[in-house]
Amino acid sequence: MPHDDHQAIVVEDEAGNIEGQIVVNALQEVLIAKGLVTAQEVTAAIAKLESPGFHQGAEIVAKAWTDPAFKSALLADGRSTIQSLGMAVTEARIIVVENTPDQHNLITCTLCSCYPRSILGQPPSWYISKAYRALGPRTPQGSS
Amino acid sequence: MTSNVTRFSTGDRVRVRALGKAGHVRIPHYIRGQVGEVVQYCGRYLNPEDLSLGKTNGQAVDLYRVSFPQSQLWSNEPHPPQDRLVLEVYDHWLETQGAANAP
Repeated sequence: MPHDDHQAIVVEDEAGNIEGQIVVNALQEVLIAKGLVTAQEVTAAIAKLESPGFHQGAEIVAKAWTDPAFKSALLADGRSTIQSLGMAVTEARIIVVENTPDQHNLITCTLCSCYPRSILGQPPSWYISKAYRALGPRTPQGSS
Repeated sequence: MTSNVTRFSTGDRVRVRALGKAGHVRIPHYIRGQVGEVVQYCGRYLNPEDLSLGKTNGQAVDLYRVSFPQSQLWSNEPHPPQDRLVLEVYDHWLETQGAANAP
């Protein structure tokens, strides 16, 4: 198999793509120097991106465990029910699935990185890795 | 696609078309040509294949969740018979099972 068949994974490097970071830093310096954006605006945009997170997911699930009416509403209409907790949901629709003793669900985005970002924040790097997206559907219970 | 009637209903058997489309499409190759069952209607949305090219004036397209037996998709992997893969599929990728041009 030629080496090219073994593609680099999209974002596997927790340390970040060094080259990409250098380009981003350089671009930001230029934009700030030209007065097109301020450092405060960049910081605020990053904070906004990072403010949702999996803690919100935990809050939603814990409420569903303890409040049967909330759980039914959540399964029927995820978007409006999550919004009722005061969380800003920007996705057009949220479909919620339930794990039971008999049924487990594994969620993957087949294309790249679809993820409920407005609720859970940015997806973890493994979620958008090609390995997970390929093996998740094929061997969801793990390869033997 | 201007009516409020959807082409498929929950329980319908459908085949995923093999459109051979490249680019920002959401139909993995392992699902093309496969027969599944519509399990949910998700609403009508602008086609992400157009949106990815900056075309925002297209028509909204019906979106369904379609269920496929895992054992049908992966002949080389052992899968419990009850396992299902459920994929969101836009209307233009679906045809009724047994259509004449089915692959």
